[in-house]
Order: sequence, then structure tokens, then C-alpha cells
Amino acid sequence: MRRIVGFVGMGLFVASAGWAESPSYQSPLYQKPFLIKGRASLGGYMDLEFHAGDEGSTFDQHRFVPFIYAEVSDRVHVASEIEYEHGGEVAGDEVTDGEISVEFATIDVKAADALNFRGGIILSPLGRLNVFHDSPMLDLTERPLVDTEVIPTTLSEAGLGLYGSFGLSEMFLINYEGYVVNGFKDSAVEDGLLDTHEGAGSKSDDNNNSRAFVGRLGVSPRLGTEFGVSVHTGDYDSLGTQNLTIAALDARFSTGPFEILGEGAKGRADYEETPGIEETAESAGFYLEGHFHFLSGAISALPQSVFTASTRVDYVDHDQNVDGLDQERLTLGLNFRITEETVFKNDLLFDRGRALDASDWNDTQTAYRFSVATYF
Amino acid sequence: MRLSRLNAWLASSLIFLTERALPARAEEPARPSEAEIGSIQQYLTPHQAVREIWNGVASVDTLVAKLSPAEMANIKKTLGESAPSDTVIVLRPRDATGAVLGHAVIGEEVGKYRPITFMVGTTPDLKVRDVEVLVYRESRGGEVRYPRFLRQYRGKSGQSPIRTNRDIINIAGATLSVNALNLGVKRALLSLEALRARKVL
Repeated sequence: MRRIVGFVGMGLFVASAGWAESPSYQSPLYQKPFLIKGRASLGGYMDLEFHAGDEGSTFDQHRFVPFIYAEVSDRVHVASEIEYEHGGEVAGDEVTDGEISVEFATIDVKAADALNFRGGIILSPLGRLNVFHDSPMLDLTERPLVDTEVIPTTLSEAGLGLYGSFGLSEMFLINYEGYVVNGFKDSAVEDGLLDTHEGAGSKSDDNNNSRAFVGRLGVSPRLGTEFGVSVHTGDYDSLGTQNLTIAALDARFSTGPFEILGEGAKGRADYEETPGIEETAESAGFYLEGHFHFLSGAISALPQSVFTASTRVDYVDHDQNVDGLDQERLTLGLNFRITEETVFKNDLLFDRGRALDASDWNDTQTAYRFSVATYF
Repeated sequence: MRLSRLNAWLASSLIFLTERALPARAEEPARPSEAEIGSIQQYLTPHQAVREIWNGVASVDTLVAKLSPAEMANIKKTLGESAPSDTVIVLRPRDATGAVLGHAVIGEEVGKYRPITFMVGTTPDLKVRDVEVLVYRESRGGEVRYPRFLRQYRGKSGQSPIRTNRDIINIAGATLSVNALNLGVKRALLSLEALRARKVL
């Protein structure tokens, strides 16, 4: 524990000291996007994480994500992000554990605020975090459990659809996104358990010639308050006879220095382990997260800086048809932003879980995360 | 080198926009309809934005002023970021009697991908009367150009924080655009205050 406190202290020291003298801090090099050339922009974000816990400690250069954005014409925009994870070796290489993938690449054709076309590799609007997940944007290092175990963040799929927003009054806004996509594949259910990460579908080949639908409707009655409902539904097996649906609710409320957000999701898939006997694999979870922003601009040399204290409660039930197999996490975080684009994060994670058929909770992990993330 | 070229491009673009739109032209169309807003890149011309911010504008004159190195340094110290240019183009709308209704500055700040072009209109005592987004170029985060967001800037002065989570409510998913506008509005107010202190305004 003392080691963890030491890491927290080190992280805060790094975050708050020494920057006044840094000659590169206000360098034009760090103005983003890094390059605007003609109609194209090049920029991105990256992070570095340090993990310490019961099983040891390690650095993880988790994400390096360059983006390319272009205004082809007034109405046509192309946006893309290429994700290099853990060093960016090619997925499937047995020697390495990295990954390179096109996280999204879309052609947007703007017709009106309320009606626009989007096609390509789309960030599935399933919950809010799947779309807005950049590590410099998030206040805690780890993503919520529900967004890793139920919603397979970052879920991106090949497809096309419409998006837009419109106001019912000056204050009341509605936004929506809806796409037809390839959907999940057979491996979304394994041994009677939902595994949406493994089941993320191909971007080049729909396994069942049956498209899925993913969409989100957001309602914002006032600035700083938004509620969203989203769904992903379609057949996932090769025969096109079994349905997989994930439904999610999300909400966000902010006032002054306080912010509360949360998301809940439930996944349900039909399957037949024994021919003729229909069964379902079900999982669900939620998170609730609070932020308090303080000492904004208190460091005179860093007038755009701000500290944020965060708390998150996570819960996931990996199999709703049995007792146990669930997981809880409490995360306490303190981060420091030099500007909105660059953040140093310190997080303490307290995990506990229940094994299959168990009724008692067991502490499974106490861990520390330090990370730095920035747009560039 | 890249930055200086960008500065020159921004300054020439702003001057071009200003010269094209001003002085007032009687045939200038009213603000585009909601349907039109979605179909064009430039939501408002500078001339239209001036008339959105002030009623009873009979004429507009333009002042091109340069900030001194000391003024630039002060602004940089307050904002923590260098200004893209030392040139400030101030529009001064006047009513039929010739009285100055306020001041307006057109600025550009980069959101996530591309620059956002906006106008900050102030009262004669340099408090924000309103902010209008002239050009928004990105696919997400366009909510920053809606009145429900922009009205938050009304009444702000160069001494106001103009910071997310303090006196400005953030838009989730558009943090970088919100931050860009916060920075741009504050930069415009500080520039006007510097010119006022030097009795240029």
C-alpha cells in the first residue's frame, strides 16, 4: 500500500512540478492538429500507462492513435483514426502482443443538421463511451467494466446510416445516429457466455448475410444534461437464426465544477448448445462516475490547468443465468490537466468478485494506475 | 515557418472576409434558415453576425490594430498560449446617430480537427454581448454553435474565468471545441482591453 501511495505522490509531483521551466510546453509544435495542409489535417492522441498491482508492475504504451481528417468539399468530410496498441505490432503475430487497426474511417455527407449520411468503418453508437473514448478525454485510466465486458469498447463496424441533431426549442436538443452494419459473429457466445469482444464482426465479410442495426437517441433538455438510449441488434450466427441484442442507457449531468455520468447495458444472445433446445446467454452491468474539478488555473505558470477528483463504481454480471460470476470495482482518481488536451492521471482500483455459484464476495485486486495522455 | 504561414493565411482570410462583408450592404440576406444552416459551411457572414448581435446597426467601420510585444506577452501569460497573430481586426457597429454600439472581433481557434471561426461582440464597456460561430468545419461537436451554448458567454469580461467547469458548462464529446471557443473569447476580450488601455478604442 505504501508503494502505491508513493506512486501516487510521484505522479502528482510529476504533474505539478517543473512545468513552469519547460521550454517546449508552449511550443507551436504542440498546437493541434499537428499539421493542416490544404484540405487535410493530421493529428491524434497517445498515452502511456503504468500498472502496479498484486501481480507486479509494468509500463504499457497502450494507445498511439493518429487521425487524418479531410474536407473533400463543403458537404463531404472524411475522418479516420488508425490505432496502434501496445507498440503496434501486427495482430496475430505470435511474437508480439500489439495491434494495428483502423479504429474508424468514415465518409460523411452533410445534407442538413438533422440529416447526414455516414458510411465506412463506424464507431458504433452503443452507449456514449464507445464513441467518446479518447484517453485524453477520460478522467480515469481504465474504461468502465461495462464498456469492456458487455459493450466491447471500442466497437467499430463496417456499415452505413444517418445521423443528425435538431432542437425542439432553443434549450431542448435531440440527436441521433442509426446505422446498418455487419454485426457480430459466431464467437460472440462461447460456452454459454456472452463474449462480445471475441464476437466483434468482420469489416469485410458478414458471416450470415444478415445485417444488424445499431443506433442511439440522445435527449438533452438543457445544456449539461443528456440522456441516451441505444441498441445493437441482429443475428450473429452463421445460419442467421440466432439473435444478439445489446441495449444501453447513458446519462450525464454537470453543473459548475461537478459532473455525474453513468451508463448501463444488458446483452442477450440466443444459442443452441443442444440442437433443438433454445437457451440464452445474458450479461449486464453499469457504472456511475462523479467528478469534481478544482484549483482551476491555480498554478500561475499553467493558467489552463485544473485538478479533478473522480470516483467510479462499476458492476458487471458476466452470466445472469447463474449465481456468482460477477465483478465490482471501486476506482478513486486524482488527475491533473495542464490544458484540456493533456492529462496526468492517478487511480486506485479496488476489485472484488464472486466465483460461479458463490454467494460471498472476495477481494480480487488492489491496483494502481498512472497514465499520461495527450492530443497532438 | 509553418506557423507564420498559417498566421499570414488567417490574417489575410479575416481581412478578406471583413472587406467583402463590410460596410453594410442593404441587399445582404437575413440569417440563413435552419435548413440552409445545415447545407453550407459558412453559417454567418461577418455582416450577418454583426446584425445578429446588435439591433439597429446603420453602419460598421473597421479598425485594424496591432498588439505590442508587451501586450502579446501579457495575453500569453494570462492564457498560457501564444496568440496566433498580433493583428486584431475590430468591427465597430454604429446606430443611425453614429453612436458606437459595441465592438466585434473575429477569431479562429482549432477544435479537434479544424479551425472554428467565430465573432465575439461586446458592449461599449467590453463585456460580451454575444458570440456567433461563423464557420464550423467538424463532423462532431457542432453543438457549440447553438444559442443554448453560446449564451453562456454573455456578460463575460476579460477578468471572467471563461473556463469549462467554472463558468462555462462543457458539452460532452465536444470538449476540444468548447475549449477552443473559451480560449478564443477570452483572447478577444483581452485584446480589446489592451487596445482600450492604449486608447486605441
